[in-house]
Amino acid sequence: MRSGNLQRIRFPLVLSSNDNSGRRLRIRIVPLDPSLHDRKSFQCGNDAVDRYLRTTAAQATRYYRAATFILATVENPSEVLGYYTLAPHEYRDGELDLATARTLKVHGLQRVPVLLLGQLGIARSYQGRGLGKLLLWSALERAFSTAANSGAVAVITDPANDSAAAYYARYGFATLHDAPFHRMLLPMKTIAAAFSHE
Amino acid sequence: MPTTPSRRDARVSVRFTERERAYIEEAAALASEGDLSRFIATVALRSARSVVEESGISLLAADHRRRFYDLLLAPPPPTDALRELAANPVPVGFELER
Repeated sequence: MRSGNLQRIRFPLVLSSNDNSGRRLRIRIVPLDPSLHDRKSFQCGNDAVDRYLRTTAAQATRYYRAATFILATVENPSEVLGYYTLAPHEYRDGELDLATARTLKVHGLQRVPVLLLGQLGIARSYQGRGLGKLLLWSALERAFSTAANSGAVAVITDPANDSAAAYYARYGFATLHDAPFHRMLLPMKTIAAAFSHE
Repeated sequence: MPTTPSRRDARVSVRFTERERAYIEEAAALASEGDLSRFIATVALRSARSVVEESGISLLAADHRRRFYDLLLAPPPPTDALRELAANPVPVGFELER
């Protein structure tokens, strides 16, 4: 949902014109730097996502268990406008046969490597302006290049509610199961088909 | 595997000391959860989920194994929204520095 009025109030210069001569807000997506980024003030409306950034992200980064990427402006690089995390994850299947493993080109017989899009949130004051889509793009592009380097056959995510699930479904995430929690999956080949001829 | 997985007819019996039980009841009341067994189930499920997520491992179960391999072996083409996202990710009013 875009709100032109809100944009005009917050950034008069950015939307002073609809053509490209208007000044645009310069932003970056960078790896979490615990000594720079203000993790305490972030509020996206989902307590679990806020809490992860406050309590877990820095440690997970330090031990390379999960990578956190921060969206910030160039002018104020410590303020977190939004963030997402990617973590290696694997599916184990005692019944995976050799032929299927070969078709999937997975390493090993019973382990299928995927990437978990664990968290994704935009700060309340920046919601409704397309930045969530930007983070999803960044996550999928990064997942694609990670897969090319180390192998991952899909991106998985666990949407927090029905509207989040509907959002991911538009981009092709398919529901794997919805109990006891909702798990969605987007095959890497589908991502590749969209991203490889960018 | 039950044929109707959404029906809550599986039971787990757990033993507590009297003091533990009183303490959990107190917590359930504070959380505005009247039903003690529902409170225990909610907390157990939440904690199971975080343990599983942190382990980095998911087990394929009978109810979604077929779907998992179907998606990977015959990946659907990108949706229009995904193609549009890949082609044009930066929203109006922003300039992404890389």
